[in-house]
Amino acid sequence: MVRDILMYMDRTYVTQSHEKSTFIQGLHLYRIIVWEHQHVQHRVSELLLQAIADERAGELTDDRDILKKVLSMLLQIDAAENSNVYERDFADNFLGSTQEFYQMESSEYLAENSASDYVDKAKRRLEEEKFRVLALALPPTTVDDLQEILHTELIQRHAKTLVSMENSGFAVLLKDETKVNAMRDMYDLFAKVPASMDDLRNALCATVKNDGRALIADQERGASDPPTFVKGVLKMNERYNLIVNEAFRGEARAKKRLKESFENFLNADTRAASCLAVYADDLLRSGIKGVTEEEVIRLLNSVILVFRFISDKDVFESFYKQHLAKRLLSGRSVSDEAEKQMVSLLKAECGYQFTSKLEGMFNDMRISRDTRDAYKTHKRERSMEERNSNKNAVDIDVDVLTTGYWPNVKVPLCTLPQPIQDAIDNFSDFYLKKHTGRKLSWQTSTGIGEIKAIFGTNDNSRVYTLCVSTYQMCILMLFNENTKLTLGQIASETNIPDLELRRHLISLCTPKHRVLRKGSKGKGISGDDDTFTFNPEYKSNARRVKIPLVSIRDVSKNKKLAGAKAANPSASGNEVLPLQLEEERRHLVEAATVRIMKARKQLHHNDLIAEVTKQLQVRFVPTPQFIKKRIEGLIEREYLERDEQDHRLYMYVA
Amino acid sequence: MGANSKPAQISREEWMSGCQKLGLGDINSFKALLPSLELGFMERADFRDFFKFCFKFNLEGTQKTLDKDLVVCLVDITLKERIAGDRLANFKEFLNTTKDVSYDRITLDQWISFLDFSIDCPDLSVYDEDSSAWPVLIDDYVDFSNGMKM
Repeated sequence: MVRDILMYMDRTYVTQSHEKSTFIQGLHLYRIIVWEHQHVQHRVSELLLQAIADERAGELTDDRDILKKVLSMLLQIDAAENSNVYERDFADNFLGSTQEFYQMESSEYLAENSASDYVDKAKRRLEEEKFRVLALALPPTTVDDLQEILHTELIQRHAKTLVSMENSGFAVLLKDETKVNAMRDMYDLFAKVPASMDDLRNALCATVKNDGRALIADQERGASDPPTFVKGVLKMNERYNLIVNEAFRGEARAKKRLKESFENFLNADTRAASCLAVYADDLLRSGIKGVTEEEVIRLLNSVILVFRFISDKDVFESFYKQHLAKRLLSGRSVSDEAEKQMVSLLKAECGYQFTSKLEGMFNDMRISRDTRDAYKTHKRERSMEERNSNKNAVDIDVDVLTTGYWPNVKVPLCTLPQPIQDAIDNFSDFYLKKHTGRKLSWQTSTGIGEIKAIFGTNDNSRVYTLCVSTYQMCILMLFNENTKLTLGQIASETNIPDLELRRHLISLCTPKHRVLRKGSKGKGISGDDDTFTFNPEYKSNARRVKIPLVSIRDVSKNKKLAGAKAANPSASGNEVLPLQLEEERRHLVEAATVRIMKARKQLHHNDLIAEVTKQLQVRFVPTPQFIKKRIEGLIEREYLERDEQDHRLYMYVA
Repeated sequence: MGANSKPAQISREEWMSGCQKLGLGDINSFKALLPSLELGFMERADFRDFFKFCFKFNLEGTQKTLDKDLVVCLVDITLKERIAGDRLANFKEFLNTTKDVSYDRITLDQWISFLDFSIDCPDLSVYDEDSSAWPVLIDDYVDFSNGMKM
């Protein structure tokens, strides 16, 4: 108003002489005379703060409007004069008292209440402050500062407590599926202070790892068998995925850390790979019987799910191959189609090379079937004469396996009974005529035979058909000539390797299938002169009897197993890898290294390690030390050399 | 010195031509020259070549590696003035006490790397094994050495 009156002066005199305009002068005088009057300044400031404190304590003020006006007045003064009245007399104190207030309140509250309650209260307080800011029209700088204080006091200071609090902390919530909502609330709260979210993620990882380790410990103790372990892992995976999606709102970083935690505990041990193979074996032997096609696919995919976490994939392949071989050879797999599906899923994950051997195995079985049919036709077509002379001829069904694809088993030949040997020779002739240049090695450690055995006395004889293994057959045939034999005699007649011999003998003298009677008492075989006698008293309910083999573990309690295992440097943990895999890994690393160096001509140490690891990680994860050792070997063999000036640079030697 | 025709032997002609190259006329100038021929003066690059030569010189036949015990002796002779005494003693002890059979024979790479390593890394405590490009022998040696100090 005053300004209006003095407007003329403002426009002309003021601008000419650079004095302050009326309005500004007015404000200036106001500030000096009114505001900074001792009675006014402090009282008003205090009243302001008091009003806000009251509000926080729960008392509503009707005076918000007045407060707003006072504050805007201060702001105007500041704007006009470049003074900092607002800051000095209000903002600083306001922020200071806010900080004190919340510091106290949050600590007290947390001490008495559960974490979830605290989360709710914090949420409410944050809302409250937001409204107040709007109502009082505080300027942006204050708003920012205020928010920071709130976040620090309410959230950051107590982040760790909230996570680890007993009974209601985040770590505890993780264990309870029903508390997903509470978790989400806490997540939202923490989201305001990004740094504290790490605490939540860490808690998640710790819980996952603990659960995982518990599963492994169970499996180690023998409290759970491999399939149970895998199912446990799958369940865990489902559960924690749910938590990440709901509570963490599907946040990418949380997902990544979840994956890392799974990988961490699963790869602490090779057992995971072997358990997974056993689980798959179970499924393909019987688990998918009578199950719908979709379910089959889901189950097979569950195998792949866990497979993805495992870093030593070649260990899994080796175990899987062994199981597959047993399944194929004994005709035990439930469904051919399921087998093929599993293999194609593996191929999709890891590429053609990974599954080429497995597919080779399937091929072999198919071709063997064809060969068998051809052989049958061939036998029929032989002349009558030949057939008559072979009265003792035995029928055999042969599976021909390509050595490279199937798991390696080096079996020394045992001495087969003559009729069997004849049959084998016949087949060999037939096969080798068809495929010249090939060599057949007969795997006498596998194979089933059916023998007709006559028990009882001459008047009262029982005839049974016994289904036995090849070795058992060789042993039993000996008893055609002798009623009683010692271990030593049997060993020299049959040439069966010692451990297997014992195993097969014991399985022929078990209480359930006492075809032979053992001289010594007790479960084991006493020594080379332990005797075995044919038991004519043997009885069975069925006409056809399958004589099962006792497990190797029972036999070998006192004997050392001749296993080719050695501690190896290529694995990431301290596991024991079969020698063969160890060698394979060495070759793979060397081949990859040479390949890479040939293409790049020269490469720095770190880059080379990175490249090799990248190329091989589909199969397994080599440690940098392992790769380094192989590099040194290559330097020695002059495939590579070190640069003279820079020892970290390698060069390809053409 | 250009005496290359037979290892460890210098023929008379080679001796004569060598002396001429060095500008030696009589016994006195020879004596004067002698101290400067001490290994100690050799420049780093030259010494490195010389060091490599020592290794190769001792190789037998078509072999590419030297026996560990021989290496222990050689290292002593050649490096005595060049690298810190305790480092050398340390390394010899490491070689002598290691049970790792892969170190029974030492390769040229390991040999020359030891020299380079001794020059490049005087302080073992800052050695970073995981990202190093030195041969594994050196890594193991550092482990051994640090283990001893602890």
